[in-house]
Amino acid sequence: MASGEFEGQTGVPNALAHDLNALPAYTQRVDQTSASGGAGIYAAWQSVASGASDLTLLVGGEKMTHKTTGEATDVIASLTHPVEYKHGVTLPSFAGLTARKYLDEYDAPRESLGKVAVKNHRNGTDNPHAQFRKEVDLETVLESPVVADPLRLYDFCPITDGSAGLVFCPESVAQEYTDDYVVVSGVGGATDTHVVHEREDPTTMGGVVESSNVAYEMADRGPEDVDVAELHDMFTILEFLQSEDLGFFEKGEGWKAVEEGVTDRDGDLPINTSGGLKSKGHPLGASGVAQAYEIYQQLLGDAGARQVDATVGLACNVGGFGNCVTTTILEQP
Amino acid sequence: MDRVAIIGASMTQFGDRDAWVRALLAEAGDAALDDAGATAATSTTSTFRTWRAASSRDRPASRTRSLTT
Repeated sequence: MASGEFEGQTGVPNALAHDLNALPAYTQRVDQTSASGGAGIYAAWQSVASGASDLTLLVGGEKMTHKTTGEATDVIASLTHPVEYKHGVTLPSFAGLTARKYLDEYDAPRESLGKVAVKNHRNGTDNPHAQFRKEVDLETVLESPVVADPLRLYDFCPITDGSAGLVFCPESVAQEYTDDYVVVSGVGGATDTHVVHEREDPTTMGGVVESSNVAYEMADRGPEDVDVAELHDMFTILEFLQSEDLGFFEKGEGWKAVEEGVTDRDGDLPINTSGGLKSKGHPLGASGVAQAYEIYQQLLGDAGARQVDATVGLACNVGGFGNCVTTTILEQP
Repeated sequence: MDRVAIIGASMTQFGDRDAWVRALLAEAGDAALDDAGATAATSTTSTFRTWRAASSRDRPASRTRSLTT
C-alpha cells in the first residue's frame, strides 16, 4: 500500500492490529506499489508455510480520491527511474508507447483494445462492490478523449478508495474454521528492470513470465490448467501482454482471443470476471487482494451472476510498468 | 510441507469513500476474519488472542541473570 504517500500517515499496520483487537500479533507493511496486494499474498503465504504464523490476516487498502488526478498520478509516477521521471514520464506514458508498438508489431486493430474495456465493464455490472457498474459500448470507448495516444480515457482504470482482506492458515487446520476454503497451490514473484526502455522487448513483461513460471512449477500446473484469471488491467494493453506472458496465448495473439470472445465470461478462459481494475477500480494496495477475493469466490461457487465453472484460478498483480509482479494460483482443495 | 489455505476473504465497496485508509482497512479486516470464523477475540490460535499487556514479572526467575552486587 502507499498510504504514507496519499495520507501522510505511517505505522498503519500497527494501528490496524489495535483496531481489530489483534494485539500482540506482529504486523508488517508490504510496499510493492500497485503489486502490494499480490506481494502481500506472497508474504502471508511465506508466514504460514514457514511455520512462523498459524493464522495470518492480509489486508490491502488505499484512500486516493481526496487527491486530484494529477497528484495521484504523480505519487504513482514516483516509482519510475529518476531519469524517466525527470522527463515527465508517467505510467500512462509507458502504456501509450507500448500500445502503439504492440498494435504495429502484431498488426492488431485499435478496436481490440477497446473491446477489453467493453468486456470488463460488462463484467463489472454484476459486481456489487465495483466502482463502475455501467456498460460502455465500443463507440464510446473509441471516441473518449485521448490520454496517451493511442490510448483514450476508457483504456485506463479509475482512481479509487477501497480495501480487501484474506485470512491464511495451514490446510491441515482449515476445517477447524470452515469447510469453504481454497488452497494456495502456487505463488511466485519477480522483478524486471527499473528503466523500462532497457528491456529487450517492451511488449514482453519479464516479471510476468518469471513469476508465473515459479507459480506453475510450484502448483505442478500449466497455463492450460487455468479455468479463470484476474489480470492487472490498469491499462487495456496490459491485459493483452499478461495473457500472452502467462502463456495463455501465443505472443501477439492476446488481442485475437479478446476479438473471438475466448476471454468473455462464457468463453474458454474468462478473464477479469470481477470487472478488472478497469471497472472494479484500483485502490493500489487493495487490488491484488481483491483479485484473489474474486478467484476465491469463483472457486467456492459464491460469485453469483459472475459465476463460471472453475477449479483452478490465477491472479497476476503488476507493480510499476511490470517492475514487480506476483502470480498466485488458487485451487479447490 | 503443509499447504496454505485461504479460509476467509472480504472486499469492501470500491469507489469514492468518505472513510480514511485506517477505517477502510479495519472494515476489510473485520469482514475477512468474520468470513473465516476467526475473530480476534475468539480465536484459540497464538496469532490472534484476547490481548493483555505482557509483563516482565511473568518471566521465570531461572531465565534472568543473577547479579553479584
